[in-house]
Amino acid sequence: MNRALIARLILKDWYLSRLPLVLIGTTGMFSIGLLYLRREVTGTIALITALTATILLSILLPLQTVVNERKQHNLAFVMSLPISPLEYTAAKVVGNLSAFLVLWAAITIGVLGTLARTGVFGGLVPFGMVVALEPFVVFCLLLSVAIVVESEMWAMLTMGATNISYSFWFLLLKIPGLPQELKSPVAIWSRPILLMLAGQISVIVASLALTFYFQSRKRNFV
Amino acid sequence: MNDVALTLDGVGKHYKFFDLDDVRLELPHGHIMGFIGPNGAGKSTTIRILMGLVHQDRGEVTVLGHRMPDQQAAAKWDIGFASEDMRLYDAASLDWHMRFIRSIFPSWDQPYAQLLLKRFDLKPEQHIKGLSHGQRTKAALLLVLARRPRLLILDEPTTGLDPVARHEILRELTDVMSDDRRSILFSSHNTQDVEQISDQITFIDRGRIIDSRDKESFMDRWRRIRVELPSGVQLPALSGVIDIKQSGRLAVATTNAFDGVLPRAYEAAGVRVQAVETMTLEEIFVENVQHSREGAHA
Repeated sequence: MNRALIARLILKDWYLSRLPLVLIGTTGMFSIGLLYLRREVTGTIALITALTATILLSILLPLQTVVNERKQHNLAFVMSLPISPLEYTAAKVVGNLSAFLVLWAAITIGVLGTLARTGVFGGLVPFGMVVALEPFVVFCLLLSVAIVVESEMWAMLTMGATNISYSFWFLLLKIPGLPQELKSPVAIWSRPILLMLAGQISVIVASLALTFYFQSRKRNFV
Repeated sequence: MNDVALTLDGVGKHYKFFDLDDVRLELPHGHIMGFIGPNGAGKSTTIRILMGLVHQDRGEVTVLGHRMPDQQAAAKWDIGFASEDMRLYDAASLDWHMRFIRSIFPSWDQPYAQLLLKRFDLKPEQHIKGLSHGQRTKAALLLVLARRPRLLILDEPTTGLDPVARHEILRELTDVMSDDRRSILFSSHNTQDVEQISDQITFIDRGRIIDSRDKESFMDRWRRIRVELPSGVQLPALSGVIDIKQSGRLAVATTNAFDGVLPRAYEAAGVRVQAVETMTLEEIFVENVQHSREGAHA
């Protein structure tokens, strides 16, 4: 693996995605700032804004760096550089993952940390973690499909399918005992929550691993 | 060092509606090969296989001594690739692209890049989005040429360009060949461009190489012989004549194996030879394709 060249490609993707990254980062920081007002209305707006920012991030990054690159016929330019298909895959996965994780972690830690520090809404933190992890799951699935299938249509279908997953949160609230845990002043990491988190992490790991597996078997790149 | 820039040996690739079949090709160092074929003939597929962008189903591909596609990363350090459907990033400037390529390739020649900016009349601060098709093509070629790669693989680089832009690009490609360690494979369906700068010609049609040799051989071997048939004289079937068009007493015979004997053979058979005409590369190409297709149907 040519790490220096992979690093150049990652920097290239960050540079070309800098505008949405800055806008999403600013929105995330704004939502954390709203939490410090400690009012119910601003707190609700803050949570919705923070979640929206991470959902947008999960969609925009793969679309900008992978789908658009193919749609705008930039892929041949990238693949004309002295890289192998697996190095290209590594650059895309690492570059996207690192950009996503920096902003996602900053927003998630900022929001959940602020909630935990209130001493009142700590019970929201485990459920909030499940909610916050969902854009990460969507991001990994979308990135994987975008890299492997290289089709805008399939990327759109994946976005549509993963959007449905956000509505399952409401079903979670029907799990016996969970609504009470949410009202607790401290975080309660119950079995259903831990199972949900384990499931989400499994999907993340599997989608990234499968990306490399399918890319290693691919025979046509442009 | 191997004296061949690239070789394809028995290369095949199957698609649902197209097959690249048994492609054999060799480009020695220091030569410029025009790779000519109609639309959909397999030029781009062959070039993508050479670049490792598409993996062949069978056959061996070697570029600058590297087996493709397995060693494509090593090979591409010395290959400059540009194609008609390759685009630079709209949101970035030409200067950004130049800095990006310079950061990757130690062989980047900044004074030459500056010279090309002037010759191509490009402004480095301009974003790619604001460039015309011709300017985008020249920008892509600048990025390739300023790296001074040993092998240039260009897929239809002059398609859609105005005559001035085409002339500028062809002039640069000709200049590249002043270094006899460098080679160019240049695909086009514009035979004028190929005729102007190539010293090797390869014709491809329907996924098969139908002819490949040096340009002089093509030009020397192909002739159109205009004859008049006196009454009672039939045009004899002579070896090397691949096409005859007859209208009344006048006929035109096309040969791909002209050696000076043919007109004398016609004269000996009582046929009056009016003219022996050289053919343009385009005429040779069209005849070659038609002959190949008729042979396939026979």
